[in-house]
Amino acid sequence: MMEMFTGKGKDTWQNWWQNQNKIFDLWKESMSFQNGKIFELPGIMDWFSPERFYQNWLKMMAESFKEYLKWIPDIVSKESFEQTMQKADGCWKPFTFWSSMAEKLPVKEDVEKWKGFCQSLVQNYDKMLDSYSLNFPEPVKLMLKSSVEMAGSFQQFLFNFFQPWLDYSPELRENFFRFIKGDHKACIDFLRIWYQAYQESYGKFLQIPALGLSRESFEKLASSIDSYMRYMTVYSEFFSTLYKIGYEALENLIKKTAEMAGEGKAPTTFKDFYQLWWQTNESAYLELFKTDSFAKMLGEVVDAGVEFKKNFDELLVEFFSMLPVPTKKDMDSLYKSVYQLRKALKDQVRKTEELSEMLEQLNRKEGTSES
Amino acid sequence: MMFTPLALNAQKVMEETLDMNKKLLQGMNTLLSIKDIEVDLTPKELVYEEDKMKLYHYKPLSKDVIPVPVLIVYALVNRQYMMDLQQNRSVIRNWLELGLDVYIIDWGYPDQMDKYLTLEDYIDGYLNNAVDVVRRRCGLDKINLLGVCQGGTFSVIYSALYPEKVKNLVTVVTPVDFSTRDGLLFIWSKYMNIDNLVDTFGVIPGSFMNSGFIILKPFQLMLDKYMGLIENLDDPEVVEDFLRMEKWIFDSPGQAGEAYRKFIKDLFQENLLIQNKLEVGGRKVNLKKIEIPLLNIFGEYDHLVPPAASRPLNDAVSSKDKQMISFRVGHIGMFVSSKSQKEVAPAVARWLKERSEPEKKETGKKTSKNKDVKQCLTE
Repeated sequence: MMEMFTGKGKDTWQNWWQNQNKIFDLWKESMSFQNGKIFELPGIMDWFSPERFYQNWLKMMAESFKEYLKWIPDIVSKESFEQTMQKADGCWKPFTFWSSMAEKLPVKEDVEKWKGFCQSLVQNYDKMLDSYSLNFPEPVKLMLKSSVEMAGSFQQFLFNFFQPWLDYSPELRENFFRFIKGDHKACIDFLRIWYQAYQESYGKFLQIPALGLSRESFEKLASSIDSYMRYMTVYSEFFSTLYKIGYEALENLIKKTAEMAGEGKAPTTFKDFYQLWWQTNESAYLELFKTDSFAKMLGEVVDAGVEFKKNFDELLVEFFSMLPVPTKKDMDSLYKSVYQLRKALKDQVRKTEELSEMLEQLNRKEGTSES
Repeated sequence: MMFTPLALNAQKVMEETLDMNKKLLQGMNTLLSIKDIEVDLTPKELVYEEDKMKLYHYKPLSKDVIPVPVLIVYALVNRQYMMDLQQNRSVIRNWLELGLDVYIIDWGYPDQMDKYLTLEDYIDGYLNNAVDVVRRRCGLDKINLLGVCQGGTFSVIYSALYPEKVKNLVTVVTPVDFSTRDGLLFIWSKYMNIDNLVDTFGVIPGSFMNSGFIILKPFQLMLDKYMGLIENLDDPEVVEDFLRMEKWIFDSPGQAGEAYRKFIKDLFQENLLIQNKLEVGGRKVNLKKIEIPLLNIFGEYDHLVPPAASRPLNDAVSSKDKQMISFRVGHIGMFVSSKSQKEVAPAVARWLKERSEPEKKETGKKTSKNKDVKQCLTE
């Protein structure tokens, strides 16, 4: 599982991140402010053309998932996860990606302004239609009114979908800037909030029941992506915590050496300093490791990794099920049968031995009585 | 001049650097001259095998061998040859020379075929069968059990379930009370989603287990240990010892899923054993049923199985003859340190010798397979 981040796998992940960026670029295009206009949601004209807007939306999502699908077969390389897990800097890559996104988030006040604008727009449009109502034939009135209603509904859908990002954007920004200023806990908070927003938006989307012929494959793919996002978040949080402790240990080491220097006991060789360095770090980490909060986090990291592996394995089994090779599912069935047969056989052998022993005793008894 | 809190002594630093360079250069020669690392060399014969489990009997190395053999039950984690890692520090060789008649179980390397093996399969199956084989070979009703770490827990469970087959019980670095917070594994395991882990992996990979052990002391086990090696790179004997240990540490079998699930959930998470609530094969494991002599040994510096996890055993059993001995060693040091050879091994041998009068099998049972003690030892 841990082998997907180096070699070919590394490229794949890079592609994957790029694809992630594409999704959010598309999202940004939809949601960003530009030149005094409220939203660039595919242009103001599109507000009066909901079907076009909807098509754009569908196209965007289709493109996104097409990219995901490209990603999946390439990942079949082993050996990667493990090595990348070992690289402590791995956790900063997703953070960089997420933080760049945080910079582009609209502030909540602007969104409220925009919401008000849209509402007044729709209300005024209704009034306008009402004022002309006597002059339009019914089918035309229906068409005009429906268009606005659909635009309103879609606007509501978008708001519901992106609302978490908008709601959390002040906290994301705040934590990001706190982190830049050296507050390492802010990074952990940032990641937690980011994942919360993800869960309430994209996460929900991935949990929409799939339909049709490839329903099962899509659901497995969605679960795989969803569990990967969870894993990356928890994993990043985990390493941020370790980094924070390492940073504190460094501060402690500096303090300690200064104190030792004051007492005339400063390390006189590199080896002395090395001993002091690793032992200071070890004891700092030991204190962390003893806490229930760390144990819980470790449990979550392992579980998130395992969950991702499970979902991803299922996806691979789905892909390979059409090939002339036995899959894990097939083998599991075989293993179970072998286990049960082996157990039944041992039981039979034991019973046979008991019976033959009884028979032997009986024969002996009969022999004794005869003699 | 830049302020530095280090008071580096130019001469000392220079000496240290030159010394390190010398050792590295000499180390090149040492590493090139190292032959294959050999472990598990004490002569033994395979006397029984079942699936991947093997039962070995060590060739006696003393003329005065105690009449009741001892069966060593090692943990499923890591390999039993840790007790016979190198000839000059082999606790098994030591016991043989001190007159013990030693059998040992090798659990093998479970693969996916073994994912459905349960704790019952290990205890009521493999372990019970191994005990029966030893009993049969020696014509005895009862034999001595010596359990190590998780194997000790197995031995405790077995002795409670099959008291009629065990004469004396020795537990070494054995966890029985899992409620302690003295060891990180005991804290961490409470938060592990074992069901998900087992359902996903089937057989829990040895590398996964190793990662867990290594992060218990990350700087010591991933860094300082190797720095220590560099320090001694010019000494072939030390390097060979190091490589033997390194081989053993990373020679970790996978864990059969179902057995692992029950062990972690019922013992580490629910702590059922010490409360006499553990069920194995539908039977309650009541530690009060252990009435045989008990020797409970633990290491005072054991970071894997802390003393607090081992100590409560003596109060939990009904044995009148029970003893607890602690040594100033760690988990592994219990078997490979010089203290192990000088103190631990003799203490165990002495204790067993004092309590090993044989109890012959009742006549009429398995007469064809009964052998007298002398015969058993020469096999």
